[in-house]
Amino acid sequence: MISLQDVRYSFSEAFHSLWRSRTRNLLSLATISISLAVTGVFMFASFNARAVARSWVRDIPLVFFLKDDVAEADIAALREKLSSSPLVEQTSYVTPVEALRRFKTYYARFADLASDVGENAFPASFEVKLATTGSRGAMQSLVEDVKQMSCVSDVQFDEAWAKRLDATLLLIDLIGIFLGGVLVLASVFTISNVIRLNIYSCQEEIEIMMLVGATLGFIRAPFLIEGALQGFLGGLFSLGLLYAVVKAFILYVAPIDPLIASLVRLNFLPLMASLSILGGGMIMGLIGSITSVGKVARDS
Amino acid sequence: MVQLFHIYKQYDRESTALSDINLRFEKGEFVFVTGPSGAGKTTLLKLIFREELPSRGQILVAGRNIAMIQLHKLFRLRRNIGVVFQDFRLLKRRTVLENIAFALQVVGCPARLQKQRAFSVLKMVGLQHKMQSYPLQLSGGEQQRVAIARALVNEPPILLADEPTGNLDPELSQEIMRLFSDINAHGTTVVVATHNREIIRSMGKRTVTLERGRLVEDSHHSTEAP
Ligand SMILES: Nc1ncnc2c1ncn2[C@@H]1O[C@H](COP(=O)(O)OP(=O)(O)O)[C@@H](O)[C@H]1O
Ligand SMILES: [Mg+2]
Repeated sequence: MISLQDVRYSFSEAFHSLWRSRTRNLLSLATISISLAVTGVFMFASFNARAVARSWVRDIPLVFFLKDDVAEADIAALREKLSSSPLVEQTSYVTPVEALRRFKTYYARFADLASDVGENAFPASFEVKLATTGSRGAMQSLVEDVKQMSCVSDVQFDEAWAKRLDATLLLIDLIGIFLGGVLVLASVFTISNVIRLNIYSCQEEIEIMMLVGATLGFIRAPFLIEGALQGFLGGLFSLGLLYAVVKAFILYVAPIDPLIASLVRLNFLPLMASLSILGGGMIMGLIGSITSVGKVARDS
Repeated sequence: MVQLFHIYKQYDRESTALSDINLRFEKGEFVFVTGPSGAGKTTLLKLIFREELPSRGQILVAGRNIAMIQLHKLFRLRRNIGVVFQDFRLLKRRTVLENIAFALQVVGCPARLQKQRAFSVLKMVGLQHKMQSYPLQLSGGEQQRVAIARALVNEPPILLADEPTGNLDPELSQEIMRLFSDINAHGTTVVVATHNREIIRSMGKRTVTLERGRLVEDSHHSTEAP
């Protein structure tokens, strides 16, 4: 039913309308751009914080202490389990003798104490270096899993610290979602109103179109496309804005303090996130215009 | 083709634009609707293509009660009725040729054919030299002829024309009437609202006369019915 000719017509009308009401459309474009850019800043912060958190998690010591007199086969099984997990970057087995030696070097003052309790004062252990990929949940379940093994007596893993990190990440996300959500709603509202005004300003034309037998779809399509285009352009501008903000931060703010510099891990949003901002803009534009094209159908 | 049953139309409480109108226009008929200014001619036409809804009564077009047509299906009725509006209703942002081609575009006619047919209809009303002009650059009479061309271009089964010669000199008026007669001869039902006695007399067609919203005379019935 919809011909190529109609599609071409709708797009051409949409572009014309964008240009014709440019002052008004610029307003909604600015609203969308700023809303999406702010959302983008939080997305960037969130992705970046995650990258930082992952590298920190890597430094959390994870040590599985073994029971005494564990069979070689059990040790081999545990080693196999750990090294085959994608969450684990590296494992090293620490023998009781090695543990004792380390204790003596690190705590030289207590060296005598160690000698007193004898050769087997320290249990054997596996020291695990976690990979930077993998979620906290997965790591948690790996730790629980290994803890259940009969040869493992104890585990050292700073969960409280990891949990605090998680809470911080969640907070960043929540603030971003809330602020982004409010701004996105405001943008949809703005687009909706701007498209409505564009429709009102064409009311005479729309009536004529209906009188010569145009379908409602034919009349509405250009406005829907106009809304989607506004959203898409807003998304594009917001990415530009975001790029400028991130670049400025990296170039001018980060060098002030090495601590800040160490917290910036990404150059920009990941590709999928950038695309989702563009797509999100388009969907916002569509929703905005869908809520307004009903005005076209004012019975004449 | 068109039937009106006990039609009343009130725009506001005080005045009645149409009052108890009963009419029947046959397929292929040529009818004049006449009467003094304010008699309700325009209102009658507006009711037939459903620009307005009657306050009371029923209108059937091609056997269909047009009050029942949902908004999103209204285009089907409109495509079957070519209308020459008293106030022309041309798209100001489009050229004369585009205005006519647009009526073809909305029904899905291919682009190349649109221009061809628009041009040939424009030639019929003698305005081919103005095809690139915009409506507001034209005189009232010229705009009227563009409106006529647009109403004809789809070769609709029904043509409604509201004072189509109101801005034309007698010579052009006769030419437009000849055009209407031609398409009427090809089977189109033509309803022309006019207060131009001259034209009505020269055509010798059925004439319905309204006065203050009432049907006061129908030549069809007075001559053919006992
Ligand atoms: N849109 C309108 N709102 C209010 N009154 C109207 C409207 N259109 C027409 N009328 C009134 O209805 C009556 C009939 O008008 P109209 O149908 O235009 O007559 P005609 O076309 O014969 O001159 C007139 O009294 C006119 O003032
Ligand atoms: Mg009139």
